[in-house]
Parts: sequence; C-alpha cells; structure tokens
Amino acid sequence: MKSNITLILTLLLFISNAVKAQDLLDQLYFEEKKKTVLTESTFKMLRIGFSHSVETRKKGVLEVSAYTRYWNIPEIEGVTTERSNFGSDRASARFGADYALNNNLSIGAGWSNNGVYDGYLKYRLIRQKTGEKKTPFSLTLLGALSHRSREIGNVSLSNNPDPSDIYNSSIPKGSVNINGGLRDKTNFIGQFLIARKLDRNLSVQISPTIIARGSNAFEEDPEVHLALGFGGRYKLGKHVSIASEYFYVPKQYALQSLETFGPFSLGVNWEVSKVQIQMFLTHTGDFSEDLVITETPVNFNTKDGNLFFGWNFSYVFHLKKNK
Amino acid sequence: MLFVSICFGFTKPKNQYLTRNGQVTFFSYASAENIKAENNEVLSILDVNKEKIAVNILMRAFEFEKSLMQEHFNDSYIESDLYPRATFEGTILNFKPRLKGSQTKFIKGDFTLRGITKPVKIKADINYNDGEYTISGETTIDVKDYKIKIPQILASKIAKTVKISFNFKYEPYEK
Repeated sequence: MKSNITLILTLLLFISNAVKAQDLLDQLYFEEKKKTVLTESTFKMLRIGFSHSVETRKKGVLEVSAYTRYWNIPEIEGVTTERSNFGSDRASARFGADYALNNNLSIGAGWSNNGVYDGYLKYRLIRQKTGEKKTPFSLTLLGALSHRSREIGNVSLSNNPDPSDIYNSSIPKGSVNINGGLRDKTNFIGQFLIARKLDRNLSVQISPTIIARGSNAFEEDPEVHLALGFGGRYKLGKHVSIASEYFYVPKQYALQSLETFGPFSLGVNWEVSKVQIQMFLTHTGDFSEDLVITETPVNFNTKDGNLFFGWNFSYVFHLKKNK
Repeated sequence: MLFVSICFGFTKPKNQYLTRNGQVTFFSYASAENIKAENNEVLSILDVNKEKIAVNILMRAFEFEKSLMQEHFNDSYIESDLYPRATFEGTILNFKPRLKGSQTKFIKGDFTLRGITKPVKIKADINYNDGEYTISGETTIDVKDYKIKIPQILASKIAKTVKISFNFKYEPYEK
C-alpha cells in the first residue's frame, strides 16, 4: 500500500516535471478553462423549408421575410386553361416578421395572400451543448395560431372533380366553418422541435406536431390532428446547404373529407451577411402549418398542379446591438 | 529518486507572468459596414528569462455588436469548430527585463490562424511597474493569408485587411 502511494507520487511528480519542460503555448493550453459551448447554427435559418427549425434569433434581432410559391395549373382535357407570362400560372406569398425578445424566446407573425393570418411563439427550452456539460440535442417549443379570414378551397377542388362546383355556394369549400366566429376560423398548432447537429455539416430534426381545429365544416373530419415531421440539413459549403423535410400524418388523424398527402420539400439554402434565401421544390402553395400539414391535396411529383417552387427570402435587422 | 523529483517538481518558476483576461479587438473598416469584435478572455504568458511571449485566443470568445455576424464569423469564416483557437509565440527583440517603465520593442514570431502559420513582426509597448507587466500594441493581417474566403458578392464591401489590437496585463504566474 505504502509503496503504491510512493509510486503514484513519483509518477505525478514526473508528470508535473514534464509539464514544466514544455513550451509556453503548451502551458497556456493547460490554463484554458473548461467551458460549455452552445452548439450554434444547427439549421441557421428559422425554417427548414415550409416548417420551423429549432433555430431562434438572438436578442433584439428582427427578421423580416417574404415567402413565395409558384406553380402551374394543370391542363383540363388537354387544354391549357390559362397561362400567365411570368413563368408560372399561379403564385402565393406570405409576408412575415420574427422578433427575438431574448436569446430563447421569439415572437412572429405573418399574413398570406390567401387570407390567412398567423402568429407564433417559439421558445428554446433545451440547447445542444458540448464541452464540460454536454447536452446531446436541442428542444424548441412552438405554439402557433392560424386564422382564416377567407374560405380556402382545397376541399372542393379535390373532392369534386367537376370544376363548376367552385361556383356552387351550397358546397363548403374549406375545412373550417367559415361562417362561424373568430374561434371557429382559428386553428392551433403545437410542435416539439427536437434537433441534433450530428457533425459540422449534418443536422437532423424530428417534429411531433399537434393541430387542433377551431371547427370542422365536415363532420367526418377529426378535431385534432397528429403528425410527425422529419427534417435535415446538409452543409455543402461555407454558405450553401441542402435541406429537406417531410411530415407523416397517420390516416386516422388526417382529414377524412379530402385525400391529403404529407408535405415534402427538398431544396437549397444560401445565406450571406444579413440575407437568407431558400429555394425548394414542394407540393403545396400554402404557408401556415395547419394548411400545409393537414390540407395538402396533391402528392409530390413534377406534373403541373403538383410541383410547386418555393422561394423564402429573409433579411435580418439588429435592433439591439451588444454593448 | 523521489527526493530528486520533489526538488524539480516544486521549483516555482518566478520568471513567468500570466494573464487570463487579455484583450484582443479586431476592426475591419468597410464601405458598407465596420466590423468590430472584442475578446476579453485571451490567455497570454510572458517568460522574462527566455524573453518570450505566447498568446492563446479562443475564437468563440469574440463578441460582435451584431449577433448574426458572430454566428457567421464562427460558422462560415473562421470555422471555430475546426480551428477553435488562434495562437502566437514569439521572441521580444532587444528586451530589457525588469526595466522600470515603458519600452517599445518588436516581437518576432509565428501567428497561427485557421491552422495556417505565418511569420509576423509586431511592434509593442512593454510596461513594467510594481512587479507587473503590460504589453499592448496593434498589427494588421491579410485575410487572404489565412484562407478566409469572402463571398464574391461581399468582396467589394469588406476590407481585405483586419486591424488587430491587443492589451495584456500580466501578473506573476503561480501554478
């Protein structure tokens, strides 16, 4: 026992001698404090494509955004019904703003040209960390409201192949009771955004989602939808990455009055300085989560009417500067 | 053997001075926007006998006025996850140890940033008062030397050189 202690002491002293013999830079490495480092830039952008990522901006940052979607309408019986000259037949847009109240809590709002107003609170509950205290993942909570000021005709378009039904006012065209009150036309969205930056290039996210409807125009539709989102980002270069996402909506939690498809997107992110641009292919022209996740009536393919080109543009203002 | 170890192990180096909160600031003057960042956690050691100085700068500890700029700095320009620190090790030329008051000297050594080492020569003011050293000065570096790529779209708006100033207040180093 005693000889053991002597041996350990001798070894320790030899090590301390070795340390002393090293050069000045090595001495400084030993002086470095052990730190816990927050994992930054998991997705860098607030959205993966159409859906939220775990990211929030730092305190005092205002991000304004213009999200647009472009698509062609399908030919009916081989006849192109209409064409615009701008490369696509139809376009939709959402203009929004996101403000970071502090490094963990952000508030956002948006208006879409289909008459949807949305607002959300986003809170970073758990952050991925490395160093002394490690946390393997990030968790961000999202609570959002989406209000429809106009009827959105997804349902009638898909369920009633006769196009003239659009003009029949006795058939409800949207999934919510559009003649009801404010509550009837407002859907709630709750999400757990769970993400992990696996290495410097690859980040993945899982997003369990609940959507509670304010009302149902069709009795057979569920009042509460559940969905599971999957997302990922892969960094290709210093300023470029590819991103993709998909939401799985189990049949019993999907709309029954309309055949819907889990939304998917695949695209490229580009950011430099205060500008961020996302370009992606998807199959929905809507923006708020309740519409995108539960009311996408077409599947993803390259046919006219199914292929939507998404373009998210955002610009950052630092309203509060450090120091 | 144990006795010999103790003798050498516990010899305290009295010729070394250390700072744990040295200041390094960098400025980049540009037409569009000036970029400024400050780091107050720089480690530096001064060995008076060897007339040598070493500096260890943690890149993540640089604080910017604009938070997104800081994120870009770490993520897209410096790549702090791959290259967490910048280091300098050099010799003070014609150093007069323990000379009371101020002396202006050149420090010649190697600066390593993003894994790239370049020889540099920096003019510095060295002050010795009440048993404590202060070293301060400034220098400029060329971002191209360290393969910091600036996207074409910003090339005309961002300065190609960065001014770096430093201020280290050393205290006797006790382990």
